[in-house]
Amino acid sequence: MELVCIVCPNGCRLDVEQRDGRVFVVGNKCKRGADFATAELTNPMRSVTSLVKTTVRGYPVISVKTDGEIPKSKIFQLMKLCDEITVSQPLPIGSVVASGVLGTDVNLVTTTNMEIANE
Amino acid sequence: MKYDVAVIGGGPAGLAAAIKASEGGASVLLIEREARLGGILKQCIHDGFGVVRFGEKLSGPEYAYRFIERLKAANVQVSLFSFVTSAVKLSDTYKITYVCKDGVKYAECSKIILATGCRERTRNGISIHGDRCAGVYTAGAAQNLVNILGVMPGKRIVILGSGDIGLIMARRLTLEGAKVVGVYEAKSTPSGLTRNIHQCLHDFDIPLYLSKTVTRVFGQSRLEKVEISDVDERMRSIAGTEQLVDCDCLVLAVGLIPENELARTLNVPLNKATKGATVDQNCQTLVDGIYACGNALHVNDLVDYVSESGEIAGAHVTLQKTERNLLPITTEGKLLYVVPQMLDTNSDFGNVVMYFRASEELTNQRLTVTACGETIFSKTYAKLLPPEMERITVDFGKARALGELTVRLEDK
Amino acid sequence: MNFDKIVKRVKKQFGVDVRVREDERSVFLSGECDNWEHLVAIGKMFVTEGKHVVNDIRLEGYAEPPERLPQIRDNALDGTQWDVVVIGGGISGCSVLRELSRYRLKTLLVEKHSDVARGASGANDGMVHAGIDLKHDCLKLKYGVAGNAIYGDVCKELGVDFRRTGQYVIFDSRIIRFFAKGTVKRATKHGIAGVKIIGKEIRQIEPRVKDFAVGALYAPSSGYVSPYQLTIAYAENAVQNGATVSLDTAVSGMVVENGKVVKIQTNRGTVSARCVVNCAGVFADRVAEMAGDRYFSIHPRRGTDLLLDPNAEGAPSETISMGPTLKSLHSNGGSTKGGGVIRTIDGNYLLGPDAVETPDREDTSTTKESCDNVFAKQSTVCPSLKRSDVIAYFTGVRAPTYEEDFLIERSSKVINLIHVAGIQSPGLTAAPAFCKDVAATVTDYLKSEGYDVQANEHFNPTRQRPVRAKTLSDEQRDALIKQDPDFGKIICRCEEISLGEIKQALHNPLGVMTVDGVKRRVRAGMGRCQGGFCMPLVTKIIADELHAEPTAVNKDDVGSNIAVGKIKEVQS
Repeated sequence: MELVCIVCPNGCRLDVEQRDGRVFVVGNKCKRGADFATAELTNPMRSVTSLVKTTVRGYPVISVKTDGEIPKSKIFQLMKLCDEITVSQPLPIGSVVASGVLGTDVNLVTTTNMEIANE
Repeated sequence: MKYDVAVIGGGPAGLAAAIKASEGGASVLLIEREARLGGILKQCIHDGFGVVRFGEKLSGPEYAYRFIERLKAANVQVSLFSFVTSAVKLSDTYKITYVCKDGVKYAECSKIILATGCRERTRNGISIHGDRCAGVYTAGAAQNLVNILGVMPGKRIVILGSGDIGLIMARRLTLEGAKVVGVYEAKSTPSGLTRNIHQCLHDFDIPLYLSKTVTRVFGQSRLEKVEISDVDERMRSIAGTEQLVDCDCLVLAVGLIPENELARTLNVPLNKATKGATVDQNCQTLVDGIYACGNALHVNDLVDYVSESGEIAGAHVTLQKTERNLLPITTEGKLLYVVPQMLDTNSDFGNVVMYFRASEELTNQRLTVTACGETIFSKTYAKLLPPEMERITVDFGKARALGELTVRLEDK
Repeated sequence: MNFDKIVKRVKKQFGVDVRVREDERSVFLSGECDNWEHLVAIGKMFVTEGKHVVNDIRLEGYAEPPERLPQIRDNALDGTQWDVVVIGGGISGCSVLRELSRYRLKTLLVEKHSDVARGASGANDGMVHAGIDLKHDCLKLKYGVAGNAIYGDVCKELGVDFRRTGQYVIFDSRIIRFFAKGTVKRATKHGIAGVKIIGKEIRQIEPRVKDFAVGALYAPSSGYVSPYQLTIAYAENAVQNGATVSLDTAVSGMVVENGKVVKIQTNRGTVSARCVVNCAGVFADRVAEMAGDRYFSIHPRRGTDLLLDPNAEGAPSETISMGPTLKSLHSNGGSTKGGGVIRTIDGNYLLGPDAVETPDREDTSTTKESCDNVFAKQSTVCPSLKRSDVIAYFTGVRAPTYEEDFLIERSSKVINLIHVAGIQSPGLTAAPAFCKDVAATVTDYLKSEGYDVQANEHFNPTRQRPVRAKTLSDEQRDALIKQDPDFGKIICRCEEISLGEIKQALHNPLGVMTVDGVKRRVRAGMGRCQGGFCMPLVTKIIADELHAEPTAVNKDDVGSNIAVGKIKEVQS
């Protein structure tokens, strides 16, 4: 089957074949492409970016991401979790707002440095 | 106040340019029109930024943050929420007038780096007719509404244009609970990066319709439906193919245009293909002392290259002004454009960074750079797509004679 | 009068059986027709001296869409009593309201949209006509010429920009140039000063005119104004002088007793009035009908204009506007003029308008055909225009009567109802003049009914010109920002509009707090990016001013919310 690697903007077109329980990949420019293809066939994983609400002035919402990948099938569960979080104070970039999400060892961290801007 | 360099725009290009210029010893004023640095990256909360530069997948704000932190350490005067109202040439310097909350300010500088980014094409620019209802937004405006203001532009969404922002917004709005009915693209091939088609559309079963466009919008107060038509190979809608699609929001991701109003007032010649300034390998425009970088120069698809062009400009402004000897770099074959369009033979031309786009989807191509007919660079490409910009570095020093510079794309 | 001949001609030409009935004021037509343009043409065939045409010929298979009505329903106005109620917030209604505010009268203007100038007054080319093409002995001429003469003073009082640039009407043949002598003579007779014919030197004056130009008619008194800003200014000055404007208010019916309108029903309650002024534009005949006084018909006419970037290369030079060719000027009888290439008061170029008859009174949607036609037509006279410079287009629906003249009079049947109807081009030019006569008609009537009408001693004709920071000198601008730092914070980068200017617009006397309301007042969002950058910012600013969430902010009318909900709270 054909896959497009999403690891980096190169977007390598991968030709993937599964034989005897092993995954064979052609078309990848680097090893990460092979790893991606293997995961995509067995347990597709995604890193997710989203928003959580805040009560801090000037920031109705703040951007967050998973600091690792979670199973693709759990993306909407993660979104539900994001809906329930409210940040109530200015946080520096990289602050953990939820740890070990959905039974993984992945955390949800902020990706914007909240400054009280001089407006 | 007097500065060596004024950088206009505090997005990724301006940040990189200001840091580089400052690190090279120049006194730098960075003028940013918004209250926070980072430009459009502030609202690009998705990841995928910085893979080339940092080998990591960063979100837009994280990518910007890395530069903002470096900027803080550098000796750069930053003026936020400041808007340049005019830039005029004095005898040997430029006088910049800008307004900010403290009043009308003046700065004198010997060089200006334009890092003013780009703007989006609008519904009028692509001739969508019909009602004047709420719910029709450019992708950037929709992105701002969601990611900065925290509000939803609609619940049932049609996206016109398969450019990267359109694809990103399709995923973003889906994640936030909206139903994206489809992404419609007038061209016969997608405009965005292939990986974005994959991870933004396929992952969420969002259909992509090619060779179709929105021809009319309907709605009294909010958008109620849009008319979709097939288009022919010249992108004109075909009568009789109209279908109506119910939706309360139309997101337009129909292209970006370099923002060059200031360049225009400084009489900087612009290039028809890029809609940005014509520049040499140092990002210097045809007007001495005026530089252009980032998306103001040409619309990039990767921020890494936006920063790179900022750094090229930032590095060169610290050098002594010299008389330039500009040779045009011409293009041949199916090339949309090549940047830079000029080579200054009086400055370093050893490792010239060049960017190009193919004008159509091509396979098995060879790109050659020649000087006086002699090939000084050659590279083959299995596949080239117009949405995916390519970058090469060319050593013009290899040429025995510098003249008749040509970049040619041809079948292998 | 015997209409048999016309009826036969209609039958022969259009195959339509038209029935005719007549009373002392009107000719009433009925029947069925399957083509709207024919239907309008038939109506015009029955225009007779001294009578109005009421065209009730039905368009087969056409169901008129329901009138667009405000989503609000409350009792805000219920039981209130007014000396004068003005229906409609276009240039007519707002100018009349302002004239009435010179008197100590309790006046109310109702407008069904969330802002004034939402109909034809907000969607035209802003041309203040010299009146050279107007026929003798019509109200258009009377008020057009009178209005033009006082335009500068009115705009100065109301703090609105106005430029008298003159207008060239290009000739493409010597014959037409010869016939233009008649136009000059007529203009002079009508009191339009300075009209003259020039020869081929037009090509030096305006090098971008196509080389077929053998000359031009020059009318120095033509000028430009922002039609919506003038309408807004009239309304604001009226409110400052004590008048009341109720937006989102639509008239749904009237109670007439003893030949007088005594009650007006709206979606915000029923009000009573001593005198009613009908300035309802495309709905003027409907309002007349509500009062049982339908003696004229409005046949809506769409006009589309294209707006070009101020930097458009290939447009005519600064001070010159292009009129229609003389051919079109003579061929289209009394209808709206053929438009031209116009430099607007804001420095943009504008092409248009066209004129398309339509049965739908509120169809302001744009069409590709109209835009294509307008561009094709105007670029014949100025071939260097580029389609890629078009940044916006809009359509307005004009409200002509079949007589194609203004109808400004007190009804002979419903004696406290004054109609200001059939106001089409040059209505914008004429309004400053006719509003005075309308106000006089109102006060004369009230006096005749024994009411004591006194001057409003607090009347102040001056409306403060809104601050436009961009136009100030650096010193003035610096001082302004030091006084209020918001004037140093640029929100709309294309038009260089500051937060201070936007806030100032939001504190308008009419209380309009919408994204398009800001756009009409200070042009935020009217530039190259068409609001792509500033729309979310303006939304936020309005929300802050309203002390509400951004989701409460409307683009324009109630219900046109920019956003449908907060994220994390929306379910599809």
